[in-house]
Amino acid sequence: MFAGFAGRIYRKYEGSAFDLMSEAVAEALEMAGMEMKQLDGLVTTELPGIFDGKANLLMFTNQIRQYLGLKARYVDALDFGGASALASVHRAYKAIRAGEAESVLCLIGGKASDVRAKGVTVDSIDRAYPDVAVSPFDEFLRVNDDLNPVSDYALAAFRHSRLFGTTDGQRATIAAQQRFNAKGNAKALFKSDLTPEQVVASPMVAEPLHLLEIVYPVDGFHAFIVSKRQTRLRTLDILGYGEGHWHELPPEQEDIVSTPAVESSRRASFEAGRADAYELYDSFTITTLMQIEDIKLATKGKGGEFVEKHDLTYRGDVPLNTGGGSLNMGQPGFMSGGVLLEEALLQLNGMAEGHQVSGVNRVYLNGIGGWSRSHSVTLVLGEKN
Amino acid sequence: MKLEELWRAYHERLDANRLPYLECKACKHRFYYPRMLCPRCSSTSLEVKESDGRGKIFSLTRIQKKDGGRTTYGIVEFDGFRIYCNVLEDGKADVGGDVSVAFVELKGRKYPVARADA
Repeated sequence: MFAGFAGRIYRKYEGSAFDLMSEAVAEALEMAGMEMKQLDGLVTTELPGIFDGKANLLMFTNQIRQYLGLKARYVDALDFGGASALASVHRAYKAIRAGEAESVLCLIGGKASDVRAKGVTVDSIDRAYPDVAVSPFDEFLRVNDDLNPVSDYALAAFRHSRLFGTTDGQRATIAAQQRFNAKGNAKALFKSDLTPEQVVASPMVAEPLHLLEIVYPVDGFHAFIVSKRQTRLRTLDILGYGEGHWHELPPEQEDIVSTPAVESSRRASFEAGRADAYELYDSFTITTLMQIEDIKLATKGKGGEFVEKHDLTYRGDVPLNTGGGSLNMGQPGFMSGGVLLEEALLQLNGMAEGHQVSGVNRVYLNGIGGWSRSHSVTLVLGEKN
Repeated sequence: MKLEELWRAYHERLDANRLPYLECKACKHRFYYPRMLCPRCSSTSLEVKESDGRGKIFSLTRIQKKDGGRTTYGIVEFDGFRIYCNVLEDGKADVGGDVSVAFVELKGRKYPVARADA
């Protein structure tokens, strides 16, 4: 189902987001042995600020197609932030099966550097662009002195620690083991040795989250060509798929120590333990820890024990974020989904040089989107029996 | 009530150092973030009420500021509803700890914060 894919990531890209996007698309087409004119579909996503600092691209799928010269008969736009990438693949797959398209470009990414330069993140974009709303409740929400999205995940982490005894060291183990994986990945941004002790000793940003538990937003795009065409890539299928979309703000949720992965994983109907590798959203260490519980690799509250007991490296018994994750690759355009998906495809095709898990037939992916953890998409990729 | 009326009702109370919330007359659900329909039962029969201002910390985080200072931010549960707000504390506040509502002025308007009980 994948004809080609590519990821282009830069700490700061000197050029337009449109140029960076084109680089990734060209590379994916090259891998697929295809030309632009053979694509007839586009599924993509946008966040404010990530296209050259513009608050908004009006009708952005048009603008992308205008720039690329992409003549499509199927176009879809998703709005799930970090969870969009995994959903785009499913949308493309369904369109192709329904006969609505043959080869669909799934395009995810943007430039974080222009937003970074304004001293904000996409989740606090209203601090730089006063006419952008982040919720219908901004009048009474944005008066607070917060640090979204970090502070919101910090609230989840703090309560997780108090309810279940989860320690800083347990979360730090996730970051350190992902760094081990990154050291074998030529494309990783951060590759120096890192121990859990060093993670905990890094500056506190929002208690209990330390600097090295937090993703670094970068410039980058991922392009995935979902197609009927047979290429040199392994023939894969979707073995499980589910979405979860929560509408409550965290204060209005029953509790804040879970993500909608609880729902998306249940809908995917694939027992997590049966996968050979895991790519779980890693905007923060706590995000990954909560998903380990939510997809039922561990029971709720036991995620901390789980990461201590298991070897999460690419050589271990539970290979997790096998290329180092976005904690070490950087987070392109404030969305980690493309990083997860590219790594899963590298693993499944035996192309993960330096960090290849042996015998990978099924990869379990989970993406999370939104500062208030509103979206989760579970995707299991592998060969259909 | 339309959003504009709700906002006015909220601001009137906040400016008078009182913490408003909404209660659904149909299902008794209580919530803070104003909207014209109950998020639980969709009834539009809502009443603006005033909290007694006593609450408990649901979660908190101490944010390190770029200027070297620190601010505490949290989710606080008052009588049957929870809000995001800053917490005035001495570094000892914790989940489950008692707080009282206080008000800070921002651009001529007042907004709620929680003050940790000594």
